Amino acid sequence: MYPPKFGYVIPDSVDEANEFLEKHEDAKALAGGHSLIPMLKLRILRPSYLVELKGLNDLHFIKKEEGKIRIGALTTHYEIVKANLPLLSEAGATVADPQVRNMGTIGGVISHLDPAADYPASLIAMDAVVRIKGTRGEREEPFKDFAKDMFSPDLNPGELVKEVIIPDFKGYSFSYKKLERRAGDYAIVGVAVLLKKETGVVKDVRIGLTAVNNKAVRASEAEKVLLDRSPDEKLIEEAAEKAMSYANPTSDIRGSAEYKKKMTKVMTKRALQDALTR
Amino acid sequence: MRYVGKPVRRVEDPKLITGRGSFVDDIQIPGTYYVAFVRSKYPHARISVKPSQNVFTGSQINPGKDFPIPSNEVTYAGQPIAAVIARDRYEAYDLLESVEVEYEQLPYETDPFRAMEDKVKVYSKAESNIYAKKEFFGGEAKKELEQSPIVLSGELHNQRIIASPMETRGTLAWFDGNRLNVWSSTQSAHYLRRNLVSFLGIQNIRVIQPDVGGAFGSKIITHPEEYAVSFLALKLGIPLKWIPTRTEEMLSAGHGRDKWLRYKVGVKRDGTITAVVGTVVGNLGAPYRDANDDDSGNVMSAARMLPGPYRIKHGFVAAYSVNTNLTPTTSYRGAGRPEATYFIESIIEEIAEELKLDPLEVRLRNVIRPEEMPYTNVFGITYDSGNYPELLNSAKSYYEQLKAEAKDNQCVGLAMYVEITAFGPWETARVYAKYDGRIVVVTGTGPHGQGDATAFAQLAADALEISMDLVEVRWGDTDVIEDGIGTWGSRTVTIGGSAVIMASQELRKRLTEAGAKALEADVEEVEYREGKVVHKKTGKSLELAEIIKSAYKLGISLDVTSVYPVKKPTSPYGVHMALMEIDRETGLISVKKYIAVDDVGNVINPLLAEGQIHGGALQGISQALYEEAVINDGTLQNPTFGDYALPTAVETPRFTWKYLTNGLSPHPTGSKGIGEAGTVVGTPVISNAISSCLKKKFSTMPILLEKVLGDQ
Repeated sequence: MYPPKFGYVIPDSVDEANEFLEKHEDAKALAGGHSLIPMLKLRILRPSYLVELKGLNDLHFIKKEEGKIRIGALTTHYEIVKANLPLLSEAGATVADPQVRNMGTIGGVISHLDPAADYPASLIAMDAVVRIKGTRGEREEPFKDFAKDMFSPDLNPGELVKEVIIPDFKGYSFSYKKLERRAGDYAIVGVAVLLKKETGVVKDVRIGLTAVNNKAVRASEAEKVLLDRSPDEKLIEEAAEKAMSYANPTSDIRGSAEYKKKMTKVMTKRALQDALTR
Repeated sequence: MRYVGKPVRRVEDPKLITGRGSFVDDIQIPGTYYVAFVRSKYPHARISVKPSQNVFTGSQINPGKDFPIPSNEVTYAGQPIAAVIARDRYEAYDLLESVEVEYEQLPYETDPFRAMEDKVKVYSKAESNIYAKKEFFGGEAKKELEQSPIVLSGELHNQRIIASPMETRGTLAWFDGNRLNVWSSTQSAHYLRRNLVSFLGIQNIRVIQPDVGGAFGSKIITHPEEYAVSFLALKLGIPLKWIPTRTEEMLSAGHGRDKWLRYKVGVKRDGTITAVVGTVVGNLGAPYRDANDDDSGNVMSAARMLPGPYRIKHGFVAAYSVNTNLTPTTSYRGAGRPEATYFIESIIEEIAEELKLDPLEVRLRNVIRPEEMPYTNVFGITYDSGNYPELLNSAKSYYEQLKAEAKDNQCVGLAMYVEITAFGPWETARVYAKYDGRIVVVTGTGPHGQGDATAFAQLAADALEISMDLVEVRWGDTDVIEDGIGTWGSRTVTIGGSAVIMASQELRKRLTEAGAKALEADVEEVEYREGKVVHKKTGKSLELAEIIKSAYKLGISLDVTSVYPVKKPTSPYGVHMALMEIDRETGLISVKKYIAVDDVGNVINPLLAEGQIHGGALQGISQALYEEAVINDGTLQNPTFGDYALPTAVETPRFTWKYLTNGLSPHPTGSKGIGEAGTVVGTPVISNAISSCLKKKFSTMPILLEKVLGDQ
């Protein structure tokens, strides 16, 4: 309930935030605060400083450009839901509860990398790119490389996620299916699907899984089953079966590993059916 | 009847919806220090706490003893073992990290059946892990069982769950140089005062129950921390406040249920039950006496209520209350009766399945007939009044309607209950008139959300034939009424309300006398009507305000306290049913509709009675589907609301409440308790619906998704 003592910094610019974070390796950047503050309250983390990002407007935007969408790191779940972005808005609507969505940010989610978070299933499916800013400039990493392991983003001391870039997926249909026991929970299993059909034939399909591995994965063999085919129930079943082999879940309070593996198939099937009928 | 029976809106609401409630943590006394407790990491260990300034252990609080605060030996993980005192809570929790505790781990036992063998001692100074053992019997159960054409047997576990009121416990204690003042989030100021008087050995204690954010049984007993904080406030002479974190609360308080039944039930081919033989075992957790006395009574209730509303003439049940190295269990909404109801209603469902009979029909064949009322069950509990077949028949139309409505993936289930409510031994009410014309009702009970104050205002206003606007209801301060029992056991409206009626009637008598005197008439010459005293012949009358002023001038006291003694508890009953949807691929269950048909005697306020059913039934549903204290290595694994799944609005069904009034209680209110009924029956409603839908018997809860799929 009570965080340990820490210092608090309000930088005037992203540069200043980068510099401070680089100099103080155990300082933590504070965005929406809905993962960091709970950890502080449980004293799981004991940073020397919190660096307040709120107010750094350079990190707070959604820009739709030719063929892609750039989402500033400080964009909240609520703003993502309202922006009508392919797949991501639908995933955003399932994150936690309304109060959390008012505060939590996409930059925070991917810098934290809870293995049961909702966005990563979509981001991996979308081949999202993460733009990172440090004191020595900016770099871009594909999301699949950025997410090195659970709770382990590819961020060096001083670096911050600046934006997440996704293609606009014009003409795609999509679906995010989240299995949860209660509204507001983390996913037991989450499956994101994006696909493009031309005259009944699947021209592109992307399936992302969350909560069943250390980090989100693409179920590529499942995608191959559907590519250039006109999916029927049997084919969907086959794809869902393949998706299941990408799940390597752990048993915990949300369910046994075996159950979660089975649910990967069920939720994949449902996401595919949903996306195909949209 | 002017107010009683009407859905009068709560008089408690205005301050609560404007943030003007005053809960224990809202109360400030200058110079207050804050207390936090170091808690045991292990289920059983010898401890030594390194002494230092601002750290107080059992050796100072209760030297040589291990309860309420251990001096040498801890018996459950989460047990408070030392108090630290600091200027604010942040500092207090910093200080906690610096307290050095040496643990010498001891063997522990969390399984009550193994604990009964006494191989591992839960507490080294206890003679046995069996805290209490009783046998209840009647008829010739074993013989009947042998002669029964069908004998069903099995084991059921009503799992350990946690009350989880939104406001945790909390105490503020201040010795003002003269007396000890204690504010606490408790279910009764008076009961807490009596316990503190006996623990501290001083009489001059005032206890205040401020607004309380729910309890559900978890705040009846006096908790170790309440004793410790009061002791330290007295010893140190500074105001001390203690508010636990949610995690601490879940580790250390509000654990309830955790009772087992091993049974054999004899059944005839027509579905009538001939005999029940069983063993009830309650896992009491660690040997903290305040808690054990509370929950051991509930174990006995669970055993004695096992026959439910059915005519079972032959029965034998052995009941064991067993200590283990877990958090001590206490009452949780229903307190033993939900376990009994879950046990017998699961068995009824099994009979229906075995004989391919409709579950409602099985009940109809077994319930006690109205002509048998009052009926004493085979274990000695008397059900006072009611018509069980008629209620079942009324419920039938809703049941049929739900079944007709149910689609392929939907199922309907039901369960019946009979309850015991309105326990004694007595309750108080004080009713007095202020000089300016206000009528003040003070109750010895301790409402904490149930809305009884509104009901009391209704009862007093009706007895005095005045507007409710003139009536104020107060409670929760040992200084404003001579004594009291408290709010639990669904007793408040019925027993507390009967005391309010008695005191109001006495006040009415005194008002009549004062009115007669002021009119210079004999009492026989006047009549009390609509708050006025009227001279029968002359027609001259005095308004309430005038009577009150005259009484003060004439030296007539308008301050009445009544004590209502309770002879017997009273038994409400009902049938609840649910329409549920089962996702057969994921195992997700959603409860779509829930219909309750109850007979709780005279309904004082249907709006508030229905509110109690909604709240209670949801807690019952939640036990069946979501809640469970998950224990591993002797420690609670899910002490947060992230992992301990309480339902949200999304998981809550639409409720419909219907009531009959065939069974009035013998109390002046005519009412029976409803506070716990929903929780008593809600759980088997859901487990039975799932069992009947999946044609599968579930003997443990919650019925998790993977269990629905049959993986576990």
